[in-house]
Amino acid sequence: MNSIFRLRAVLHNLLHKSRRDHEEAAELKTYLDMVADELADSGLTRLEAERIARMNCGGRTQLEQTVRDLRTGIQVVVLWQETRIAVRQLIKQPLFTVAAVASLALGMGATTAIFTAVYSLTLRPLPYSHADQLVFVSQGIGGGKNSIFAPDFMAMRSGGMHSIQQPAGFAERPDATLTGGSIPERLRCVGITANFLDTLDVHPQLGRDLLEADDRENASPVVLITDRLWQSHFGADRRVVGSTITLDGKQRTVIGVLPRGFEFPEPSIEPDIVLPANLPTAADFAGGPVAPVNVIARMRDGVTRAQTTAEIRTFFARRTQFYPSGWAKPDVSVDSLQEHVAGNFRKPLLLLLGCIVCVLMVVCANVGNLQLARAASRQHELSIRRALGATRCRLVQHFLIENLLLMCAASLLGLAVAWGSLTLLRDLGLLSGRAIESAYGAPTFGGLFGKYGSTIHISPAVVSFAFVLPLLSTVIFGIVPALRATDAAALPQLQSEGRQTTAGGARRRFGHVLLAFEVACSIALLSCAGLLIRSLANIMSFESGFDPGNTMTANVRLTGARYQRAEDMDHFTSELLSRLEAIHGVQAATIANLLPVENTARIQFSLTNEHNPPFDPGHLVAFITISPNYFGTMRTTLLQGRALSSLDSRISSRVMVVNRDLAKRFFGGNALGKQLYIHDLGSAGSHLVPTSIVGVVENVPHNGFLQPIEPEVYLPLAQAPQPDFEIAIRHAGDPALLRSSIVKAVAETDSTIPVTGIETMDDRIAYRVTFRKALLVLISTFATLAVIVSAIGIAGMFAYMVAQRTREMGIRLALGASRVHLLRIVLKETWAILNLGTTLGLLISFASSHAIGSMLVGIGRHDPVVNVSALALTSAVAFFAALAPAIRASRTDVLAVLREDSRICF
Amino acid sequence: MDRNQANLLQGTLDLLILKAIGDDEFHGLGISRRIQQITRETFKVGPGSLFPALHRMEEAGWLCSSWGESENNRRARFYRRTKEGERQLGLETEQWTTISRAIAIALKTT
Repeated sequence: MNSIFRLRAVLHNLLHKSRRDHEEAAELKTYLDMVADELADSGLTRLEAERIARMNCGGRTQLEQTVRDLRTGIQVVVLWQETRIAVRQLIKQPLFTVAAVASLALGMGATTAIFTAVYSLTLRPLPYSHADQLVFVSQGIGGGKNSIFAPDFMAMRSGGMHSIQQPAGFAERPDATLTGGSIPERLRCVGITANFLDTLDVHPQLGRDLLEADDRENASPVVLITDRLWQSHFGADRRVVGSTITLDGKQRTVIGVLPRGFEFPEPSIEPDIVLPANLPTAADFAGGPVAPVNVIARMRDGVTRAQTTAEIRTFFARRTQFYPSGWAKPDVSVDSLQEHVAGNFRKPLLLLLGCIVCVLMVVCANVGNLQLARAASRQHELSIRRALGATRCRLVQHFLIENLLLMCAASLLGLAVAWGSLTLLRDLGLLSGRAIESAYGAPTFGGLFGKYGSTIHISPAVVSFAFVLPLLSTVIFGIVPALRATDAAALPQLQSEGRQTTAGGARRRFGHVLLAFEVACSIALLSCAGLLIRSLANIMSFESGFDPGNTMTANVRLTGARYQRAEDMDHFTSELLSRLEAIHGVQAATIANLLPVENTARIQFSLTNEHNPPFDPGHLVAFITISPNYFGTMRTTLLQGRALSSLDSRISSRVMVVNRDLAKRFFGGNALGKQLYIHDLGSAGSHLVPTSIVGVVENVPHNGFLQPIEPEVYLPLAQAPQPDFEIAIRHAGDPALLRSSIVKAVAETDSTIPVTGIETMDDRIAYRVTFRKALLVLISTFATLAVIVSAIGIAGMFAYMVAQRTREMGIRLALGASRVHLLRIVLKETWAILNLGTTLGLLISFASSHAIGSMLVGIGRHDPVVNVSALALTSAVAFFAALAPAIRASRTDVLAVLREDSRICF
Repeated sequence: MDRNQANLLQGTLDLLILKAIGDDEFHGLGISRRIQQITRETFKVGPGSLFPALHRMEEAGWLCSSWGESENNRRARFYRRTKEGERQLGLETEQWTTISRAIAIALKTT
């Protein structure tokens, strides 16, 4: 009832505003007239009576204003009025408005764009129901997070965990070749346990889920296909369920189609088909290598992650009794599935967000400073409004509304900027899933964010962020200038000329703090960019041990019944090699199971003659199987002994070449002729065989530039045949022509074998540093922006200050100050700003250095060279920005100033 | 009654106005004069306090107003008490009685 009454009153007041104004004025007038009537009755003249009546009443305008302020809903009216005034003010000063909005829009646009990425990749709930209950279990062996051993997983499943429902697992599987269509197609595979989809609460859109019965060793082979493959390969035919397809020469029954938009919860895998994982069911470690499995689980309702972690840790602590002697206790961690999925992007993205927020704050501080300067030039207007009855609250409101208008306009524009830039990036294929051109297109995840790039869009959360941003900026950077500008003590009296000799000390000090803050942000950003630049330089100048130039690479996989025996593979590789070497312009060609900067495979080894030692994850050595001309093709220096040759065949004695690191670590650099015991990859047996070291080569960072060099062995391809291998060709010709020649060479050798991933070695390496480069470019841009904006801020502020203090300067000159002295006065203030700014900046960059620490290569977090250069650069820019106004101050024309002053004094 | 007094007695002013109007209707000056009369010249309410108070009370729904002719044939706004205003008067009277009695007792205590 009461609220309805109030609402009616508000509406009435709003709709009949002018009538109310008129009525109130009329009422007051009547009152005065009546008082005058009474006075006139007592014998005064009419004029005198009216004068006394008015005098007793006090300020009539102010009284009217007081009465107006009491109206219900007056706040709305005031808000509307102030908004109108603010819009008018802003339109009247288009230069200021455009500059402020443009700089803010740029800052806010970039912030919004980066927030979009942060939100989409790290905050967005995963597309599974109750995704917050899903966890990823991993164990750390020698740093990093690795998959769980299958026996442990089996024990977990039968262990009756309280905090989680039965864990589910997935395991990486090699790509499979789908035949039966017009061309063989290469498909990405992943193996899952039967309850995997259930745990995610994902159900096939067609057909049925995997059953426990399917996930057994002797079960009839089945497969689930993704919606993508169903659409592209099977033309969305519903009859596909129940049909059989030929994968790697084996028949498999399609039992279902995964739902559209299904996302596999692993950043590096987005399968086309899903197979039963078919893990070994033993829960102990007796004999043979151990299969790895990635484990996910769903926590039960009401269970926290801390409880889950505690239970799983206890479980693994008990498991150590089953481990072969000498195994370390695993360091098990339980992450939310989302953390696992976002893992690699989290830190760099948060770093980027931090940097862009820094830039935004610099821009906001600049706008705050501009507002202060504008307020100073609007003192006269403010005093008049004050005199006409506006409360300070209302003036503060005015400034805040003005600020909010600017910020909102900027935010809207910024949203458009963010949308535009994200669209552009997506169109350029920089965000995601750039399908690397290949003969039989299996997509490879390129782009900055791999497969998750496609999830980056502007969502409601982003839009609300864009609305909160201006509010926050106004609160942080608008309130103090508004309070300062409307400070009653600072407002000049109306009767004075309305110009102070020098701007108030407090107001200037606040401006200085803002500028110092800008300087500090610039230094912090520059330091950050500097560290990243030096890291990238370190990576690029890494002693690589090979020459990636003029090298073309491709991937080939031998499948089908034809390549079951080592001899057949051997035959294929030697024939392919001779065809590749025959291509025009080819200088050298080689085949290897892996090429540099991919991860290496590992093999068990022993230094002593143990026939069959227990499996031990700490006793693995990286191995690469190569065709004879590998070192020649890669241009890796042979340090000692000989390279592998075609004489090292399947039937000759086992030999290997080792890298310098292995020779140094195990044999004190004297490895030639020594023996290492490793698995014989050429035969089916699981025992270790002695293998002689015939050569030592230079270290090559096979595991990527950021990893430390590991001991590695090179085995002859003939003695360790691999069905899945890479081709590398060093050539002098046109890489584009080479592409088709490679496809032709493979097809001529065997037309059923697909060749994929044809790209230059340089591209392969460049891809590894794409993200880092993008990060570097962005942060450097941000840092440059911050430096420029703060330089503009400093220049503007001092120019304004000097203009304001012209009179003071003139008087100082007239009283005998030298021009150098004036220069010094201005520069002294710059000095104060720089002192505060650099101290703050160094503090910020020290405090925030742990955020960037993990992304640095070959450089410490606190690099004095970087810090000092950032400091020097910022200081120099700030100093020069202040120099021009300072020079102008020193050139003040004494006579002009005094002449102008004489009008007031005399 | 000067400004300080007005602030001090803000609550009282409402009570006085409601009381002064009674069941009659008055224009601004009328109310001012009536208060002067019923308080035996102790309170003189100037326009600076009177009009804000009247408008506040009207917004609160205790008073309602209409335009009419004054005794001197001037168009004036006349205020009347509403039902709500009557209830408010009762409330405030009670409050004031309690307070004044309490203060009287307090002052008598030695």
